[in-house]
Amino acid sequence: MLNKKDKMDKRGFEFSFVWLFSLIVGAIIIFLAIYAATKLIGSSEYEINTKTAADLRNVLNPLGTSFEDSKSEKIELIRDTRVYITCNSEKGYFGENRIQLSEKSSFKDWSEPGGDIAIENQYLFSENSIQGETLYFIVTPFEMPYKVADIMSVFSQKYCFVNTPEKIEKEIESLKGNILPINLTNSINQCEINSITVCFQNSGCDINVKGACTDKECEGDLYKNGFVEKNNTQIYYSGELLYGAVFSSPENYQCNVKRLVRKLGYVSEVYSEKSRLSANRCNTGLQSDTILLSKLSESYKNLNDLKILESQADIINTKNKALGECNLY
Amino acid sequence: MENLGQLKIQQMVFMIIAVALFFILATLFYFSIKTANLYQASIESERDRSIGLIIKLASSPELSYTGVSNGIDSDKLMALKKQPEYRDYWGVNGIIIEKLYPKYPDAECNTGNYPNCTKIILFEKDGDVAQSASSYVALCRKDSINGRAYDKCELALMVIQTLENEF
Repeated sequence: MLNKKDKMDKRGFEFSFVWLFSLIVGAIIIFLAIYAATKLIGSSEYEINTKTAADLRNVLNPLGTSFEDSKSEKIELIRDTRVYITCNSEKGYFGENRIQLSEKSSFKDWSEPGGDIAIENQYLFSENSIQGETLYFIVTPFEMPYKVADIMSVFSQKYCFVNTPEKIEKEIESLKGNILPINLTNSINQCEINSITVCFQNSGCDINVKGACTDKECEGDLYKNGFVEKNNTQIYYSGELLYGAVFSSPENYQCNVKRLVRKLGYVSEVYSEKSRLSANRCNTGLQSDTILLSKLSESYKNLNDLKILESQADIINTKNKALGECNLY
Repeated sequence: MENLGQLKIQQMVFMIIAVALFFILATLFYFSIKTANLYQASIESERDRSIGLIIKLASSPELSYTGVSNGIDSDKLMALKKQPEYRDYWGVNGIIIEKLYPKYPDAECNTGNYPNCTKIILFEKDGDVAQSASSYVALCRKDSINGRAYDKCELALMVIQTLENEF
């Protein structure tokens, strides 16, 4: 009798083949479902990041300067975002910047970066990657001697400028408004701990600016050109390129300057042809000078060559000013 | 008992195939909707880019006329026609500027008839045009009367064409 009961109990816990089969198949289906869901979320994040990068590119177009000297702007993103900015000076005729975005994800730390979006007609001077919910822009025209393009300095961190020369201080004050997180102080000790410090003529900051303009054409403005020391690298700047040099990584800076100089060559060709076309209505006589500037741009190798371009640009500028109403630009 | 087990396995297999088919169809449906949305997003993105560009283009150094708000330099346009490097620079299919007033002979501008012409086609690529954005501009050039230079500006319409499927 006892033996029979034992036998009955054993039949109650029987683990048949059907059970085993359905468990295995069920596990496979659940695994595939989870895998597919994860992949779909990943592709959705990729799509969102790519779309946001394309939107950011579209927003950049109206940011450029027209007749104003320079301007500042900020773009607020929906959530904490990493923006990767690269520069390639060899792509096509004008080179390109590429932007790629990665948003902070609710599932993991950072989502998969989206597709990189090419920007050929803008010059983004920034660190290789910037992170934050707000992107700040300082847009200044690059003129040599005529406007070539806009220098777009992009950053997201706080900056602290120490002992800023009067002219630059005034310019930053006018740009800053309530937009830019830039603090102007007289001592490095007054800077916030998490801010990037920028010193003028002194060392000891994260970024050190050394003015080097002592010639007559500098008109007493020591910082009209000079050097920016950053990440153990010293880079030459001239005029409004100062902001690009401060806010950009050295490699992005050098690449973008190369792109700007290449564009200077093409813009000079336009001015040269304009000078020829309008000769019978308004003779400027600047055709050969602009062609020379274009040729000099073509032979540009590195930042040291900027000085040669500057001197030719000064010659054109002086002649253009003397033309009065018949000026070229 | 063996036949019953085989029947149950067959039922299970049919069920699995049905479930798998359902998931495949659902996934295909999802991706077809997603692709359609993506295409729409790319069209909208191109439209936004054209609008942004048309605001900016009149003030770009290659086109702008110094001292005139929203002014385009017609001499520069004629110069740009000769520079193929700019065909891809703005990422659009075509840029066309048409003089509206005063009236000129209805002809495309070239070195022979400029400035007595109507339309300056900066460039126009082959391909289906998805959409156009346009803006009124002042088309200006230096001119002179009795040896005295002045800015001569005329009313014109600038049209930007974008390519289909460009993203």
